[in-house]
Amino acid sequence: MARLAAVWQITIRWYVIALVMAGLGVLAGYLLFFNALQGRPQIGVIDIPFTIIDDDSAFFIGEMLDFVSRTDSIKAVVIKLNSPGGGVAPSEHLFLKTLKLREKKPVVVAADQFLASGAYMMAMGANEVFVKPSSIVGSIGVRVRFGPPPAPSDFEIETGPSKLTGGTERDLFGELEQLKESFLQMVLTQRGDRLNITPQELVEARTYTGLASVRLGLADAVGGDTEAIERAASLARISHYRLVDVNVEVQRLLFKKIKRIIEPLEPLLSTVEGAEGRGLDLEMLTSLLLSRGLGESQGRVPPDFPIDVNLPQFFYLYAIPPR
Amino acid sequence: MPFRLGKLWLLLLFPVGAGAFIGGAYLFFYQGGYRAPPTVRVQFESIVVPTASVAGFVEAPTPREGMFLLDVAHSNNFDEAELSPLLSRVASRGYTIEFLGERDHGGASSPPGRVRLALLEEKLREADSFAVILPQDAYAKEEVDVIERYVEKGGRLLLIGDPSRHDHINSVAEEFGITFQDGFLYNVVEHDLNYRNIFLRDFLPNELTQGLGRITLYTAGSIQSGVSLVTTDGNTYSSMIQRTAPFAPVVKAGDGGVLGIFDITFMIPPQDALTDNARFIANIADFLTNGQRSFELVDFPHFFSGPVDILLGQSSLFPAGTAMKSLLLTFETPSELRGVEDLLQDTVFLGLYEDARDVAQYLSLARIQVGETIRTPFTPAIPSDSTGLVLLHQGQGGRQVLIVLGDTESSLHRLVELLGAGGFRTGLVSDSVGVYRLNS
Repeated sequence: MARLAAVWQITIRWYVIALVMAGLGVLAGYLLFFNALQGRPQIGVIDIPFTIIDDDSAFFIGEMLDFVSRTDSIKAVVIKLNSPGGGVAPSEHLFLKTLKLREKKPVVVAADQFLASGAYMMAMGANEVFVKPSSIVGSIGVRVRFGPPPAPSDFEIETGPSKLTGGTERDLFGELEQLKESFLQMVLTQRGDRLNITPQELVEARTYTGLASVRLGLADAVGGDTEAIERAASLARISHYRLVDVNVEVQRLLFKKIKRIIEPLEPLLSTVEGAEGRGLDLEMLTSLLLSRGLGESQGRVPPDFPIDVNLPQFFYLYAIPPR
Repeated sequence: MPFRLGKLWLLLLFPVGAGAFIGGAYLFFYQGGYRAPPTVRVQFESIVVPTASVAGFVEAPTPREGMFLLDVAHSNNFDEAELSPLLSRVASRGYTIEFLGERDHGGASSPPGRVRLALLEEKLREADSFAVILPQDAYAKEEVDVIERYVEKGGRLLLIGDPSRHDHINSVAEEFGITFQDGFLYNVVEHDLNYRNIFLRDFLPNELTQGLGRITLYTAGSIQSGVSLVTTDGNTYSSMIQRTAPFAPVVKAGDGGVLGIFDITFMIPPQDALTDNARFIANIADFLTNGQRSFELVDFPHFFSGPVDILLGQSSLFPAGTAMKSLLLTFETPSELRGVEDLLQDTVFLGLYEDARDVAQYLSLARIQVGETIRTPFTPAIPSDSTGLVLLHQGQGGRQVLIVLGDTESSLHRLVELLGAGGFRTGLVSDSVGVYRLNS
């Protein structure tokens, strides 16, 4: 009893109470800061290995951009990009998404081998662009692939002369020119005073080495992923940040979504024969649904879009046609 | 109680501790917030693409007679429909249009070299103008020589290449001192819908550039040398040639008889109607149809431009006259036997040497004497037995007089046969005189 009384005497001494209260406060602050408030800042790293920007790849890249946009703890974004571009609509989609993201968080693009055409367009949405000395940068232009107009048929009737073709060949040239002008305006408005190249030179659609692109103001600096991450942190004004592999996080999220949809069906799926002769399972389905279009072979140039619909096909793409 | 209340201030240390941690953590991790740069929106709605306008052009050409020959014997890389604006204008000027060689369905084929050469020689005898357009097979030296002789005689030659199509146009063009250069021309500052569709406004005054204000070429190339009829402006560059000097996609060469154009697409509908292209095509049609080519004896009977009068030295030569009439008819040249010479009409005179006095004025102009021997400026005296003589006289106003003489009726008949079979060409001693040994 006497001992308890002695302990109590010590415990209730003011400095002990003060220490405990302050410690509890710090603990509460810790819990609050890391759980309810900002917490340790993160930089989201989106990795886009050699990719033709088509509907599939643009969907997945778009999902990643959405993820970093809505994740508060991610304070800056670095996009490791290696692409010669692709379809016009997917490229424009990614430009607009990146531009929107930039309004919330700094976005820095770190180019690998290719940052051309539609990929360069996407990079225009970022705050800054880092390139490697040997990166292939530029190719600001559009190309179109079209065939001869179909002859009128007795077995397929349309309501107007342009219903099958969309317009004349001259109309097509006009559309092509509009898209080129639109691309040019994206570059001029987003690069602004940083450009040391005339619009006339830009629309020649040349590619430049990373070194030349920095000199011409098409890119901001020569540097790799590390420099891009440091620059993103600097723009976001953060330090002691943690890197987040956005590809993995998004795949995980999508996997969860798919799992919720597919799991109830799994008993049924096992009866369906898959590509390798075994029953379809969740893993196979997920691999089919996720990451499509990313990391494609360079042999798949130009993209093997369906050729029977949506002709003509416009591309923001830097690629030599198959010989 | 007073003791405990007095220590209550210690509770404030809890929020202070929490605040200090949070503040410290913020200072540790964050040096301030992100300041987004102002977003400059792209004014997509203000993007407008100017286009070339259709220029109305109506013409009333003067009909002329002649034949326009189009080469399709060298795997020529064009479709006839692409040339319809030009061909229709040539046809509207009264010219007939013929093809050198056979056209396959939708393209041109290529006959063997010797056949092609013979075909070219034969057709160019008749042609007033000739077009070599995108030949994918190179012209042989012998073929080029034939074309060169044709141009020397005043024949009009149109050479068309196109940077977007494969061709061997230089195998002909270089003989006339012009070269269709590699690469294509472009202008990124001002163009019709595409950088390869260039406007041209700088014209050298010439029949071919008459009335032109602005034409548009659709993927044109540069031609080196020759007389530049149309040149590019300072914003037009070549994809291959590193210079900014004006380029010439339209030139003349060969003393004005050769027209080189390094673009075919400007005459393909609908481009043919844009800016002053229609007028330019009309000018090209004029160039092709208003030439004055001269003919030689070797060109028999194509030097006759209309109905021909056949005069006989004596009535016994009537069979030879009808044979000549039949022969001319095979070349679609109508003729009539006449008793009196019409000085405005193309004429064939058939006679024996003893009838030479009837055509003495023509023979003396050619310094030919006919008697026991035949004397020409090009041959020694030849005994007149079993011989024949052919002379082509080209009079004023383009009148052609062909004189065919033999020592006997059978010699004359044989000579008419030689004319029909083309064998007379082996006995030519000059461009207008032929002397033949006619042993049966």
